[in-house]
Amino acid sequence: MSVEESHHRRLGWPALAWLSAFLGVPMALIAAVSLATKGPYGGVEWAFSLGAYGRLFDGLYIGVFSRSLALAGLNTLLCAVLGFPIAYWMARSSKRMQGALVLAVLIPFWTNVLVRLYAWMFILGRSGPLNSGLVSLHGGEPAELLFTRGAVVLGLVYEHLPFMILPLYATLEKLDWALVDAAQDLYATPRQAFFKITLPLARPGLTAGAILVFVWTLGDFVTPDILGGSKVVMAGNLIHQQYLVLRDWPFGSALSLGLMAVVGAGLFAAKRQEAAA
Amino acid sequence: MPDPAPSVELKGVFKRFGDVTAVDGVDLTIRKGEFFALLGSSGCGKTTLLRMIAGFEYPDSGGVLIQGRDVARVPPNERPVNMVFQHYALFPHMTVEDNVAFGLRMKRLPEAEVAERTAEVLRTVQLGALSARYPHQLSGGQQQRVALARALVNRPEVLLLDEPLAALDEKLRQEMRHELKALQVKVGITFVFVTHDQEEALALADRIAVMRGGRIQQLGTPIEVYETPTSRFVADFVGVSNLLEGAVTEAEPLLMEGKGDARRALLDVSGVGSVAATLFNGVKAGDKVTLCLRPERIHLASDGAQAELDNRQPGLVESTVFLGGEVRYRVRLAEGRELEVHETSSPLRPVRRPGERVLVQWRAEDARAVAE
Repeated sequence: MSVEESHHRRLGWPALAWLSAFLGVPMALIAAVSLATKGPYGGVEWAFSLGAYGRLFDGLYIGVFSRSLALAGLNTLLCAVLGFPIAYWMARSSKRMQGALVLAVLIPFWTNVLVRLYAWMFILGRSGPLNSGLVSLHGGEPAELLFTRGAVVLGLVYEHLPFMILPLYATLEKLDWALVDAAQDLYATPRQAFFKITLPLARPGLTAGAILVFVWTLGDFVTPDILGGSKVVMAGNLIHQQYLVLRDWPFGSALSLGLMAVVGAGLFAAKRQEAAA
Repeated sequence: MPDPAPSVELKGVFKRFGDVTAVDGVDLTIRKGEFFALLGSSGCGKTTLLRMIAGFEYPDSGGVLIQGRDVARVPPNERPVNMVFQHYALFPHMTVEDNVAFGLRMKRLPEAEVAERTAEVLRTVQLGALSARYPHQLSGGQQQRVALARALVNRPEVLLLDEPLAALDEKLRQEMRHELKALQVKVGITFVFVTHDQEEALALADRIAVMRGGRIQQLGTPIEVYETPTSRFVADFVGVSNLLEGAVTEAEPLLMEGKGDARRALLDVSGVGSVAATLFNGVKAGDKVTLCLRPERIHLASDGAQAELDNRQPGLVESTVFLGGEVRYRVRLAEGRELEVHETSSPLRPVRRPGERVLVQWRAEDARAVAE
C-alpha cells in the first residue's frame, strides 16, 4: 500500500467507527435478541430459542410479507412510469431550468413526512376539498377515499417519487443526446430511438431509483398507518407492532432480519442480472 | 449530356434561433459524387446547414432538396442521408457489429443481408477483426472508422460529416485525410463535410463553400478559393495572407488564359508605395482595395542583386524561423510595413539572418487585389 493510499484509508475511519457503533452493534443486538425468548411482561429472557424464526413461516406473516413485496413492487413500477417522463423533461431543459426543477423536486423534503401525510389525510377525508369538489359536481354521498389501499398507494408514490426522479435525472443529464440523433439518422423513429438508446442507457439510474424506492417502501410503516388506517398492514407495520405494541422483541427482531434477508436476496439477484446484461 | 439530379440543393434557406440568425439566405447546389466542404469559424452557420440537410433542424423558410425531392420538413429517419457525428456518437452499449448493423435493422432488412453487408463494410474500413468489441475498447481512429462504416453501410445518397477529423491527434489526422479521400473515391457517394480547418477543406474537398455570418462568402474549388479569393475575409481565412490596404491608381484588362475578368493594375499601397497587382470582380480605378500577398509567393534576393520580378522593395530581415522544409521570415519594408515570407529551404538558397538587408520581390499575378 502506498503512503497516499494509507492516508485515504485513514479518511474513512470516522465513518467506519460511526457505522460500527451505531449500525453494527445494534444489528448484533437484534440478531442476539431474535434468538432469545420473550419474557412474561414483555422483556427479553436470554434463553436460546429458534421459536421466533419458526413463527416467520406462519401463513399470516407470509401473507403480510408477500403483500408488502407486491405493494413495494407496484410502488416502484408506478414511480418509474411517472418519474421517467419528469426526469427526461428535466434533463432536456436548459441548465437554468434544471436547477429550478431539481429544487422543486426537493422542496417536499423541507417538511416532515408526517405533516405531509396529514395534509393528504385532510385532502382525502370525507369533508376534505377533494370530496367537497366531487359532491358539488356530481352530488350524492362523499366517497370513501381515505383508509383504502388506493390511498396508501397514492401516499407511497407521492413520498417515494423523488427517489426515482433524482437518480434517473442524474443519469439522463449525462446522456449524450447526439446518440439519439444518431439513432434517428439511422432510420429509427423517435419511439424506437427511445427504446433502443435512451432507455438502455438510463438503466443505471433506473436500477438505483428502483432499489431506493423498493427498499424504502418495504420498511415504511407510517404511510400505511396514516392513510390506510389499520386496514393495510405492511411488513414495517408488523415489525413496529411487535416491538412497541405487543412488546415481543424476539419476534420483532426475527421479522426485521427476515425482511433484510428478503431485500438482500432481491438486491443480489438484481446485481447478478445487471452484471449478466 | 444532361447533368444527373444534384445530390443536395438548398434554395433560399433561412434559420433563426431566438435572436440569432444562424443561416441567412443560402443557395447551394452540391453535385452527385462530389466531396464538398462547408468551411467557416464557429457560429458561421455551417453546422446548422449540415443539420438541416440531415433533418435535425427544419429551415424557417426555403427549400432543402435531396435528389430533387423537397425534404425540408421530412424527419431524419426518412431521409436518404447518413451522418458521421463529431464525436462519432457510437452507441456505447452495442458492439461494433451491432452499431454498424443498426441502420439496416431499423430498415428491417433480412438478417442474412444485414450480416453480409455489415461484414463487407467492416472489411472496407479494415475493422473486421474488431467487430465484437465495444466502442470504449477502440482507439480514436478506430472509432472514427466505425462511425464511417455505420453510415456507409446504408449506402446513403449523401454522407454528412461533422468535423470528421477534429477529435483525432495531429498525426492520425494527416493519415485519415488520405484514407477519407480514397474512401470517397472508392464508394462514389456524395460527401458533405463541415470543418473550421481551412487546410482540411483544401486537402479533402472538390469544392469549398466558405461561410461567414450565415452566408456563403465564396464558393469554388480549393485552387480558386486559395488563388483568387474574392474578399478580404476569404483571403485571410483560407491560408496565410499578408493583407495591405491600398487604392487602385490605374487598371487595364489583362489577357490571362481562363481568367475572364482579370486585369493588371497599379495600386497605391500605404506603407509600400506603387505595386503592380491583379484585379478581379469589377474593381475600378479609384476603388479602395485590399492587397493579398501569400507568404510563399514572395521571394527574397540578396541586397544589390539584379531584380527579376514585377515588384521589388528593399527590406530588412526582422526574424528567421527555420522549420526544416521551410524557412519563415518577417521582413520589414523601407516604409515600416512588415511582411510574412515563406521560402522552401534548399542548399542552393541561403538562409537569411536577422538584420540582413534583402531585396523583396513578387509577381503581379501573385498580388491579388480584392474590394474592401
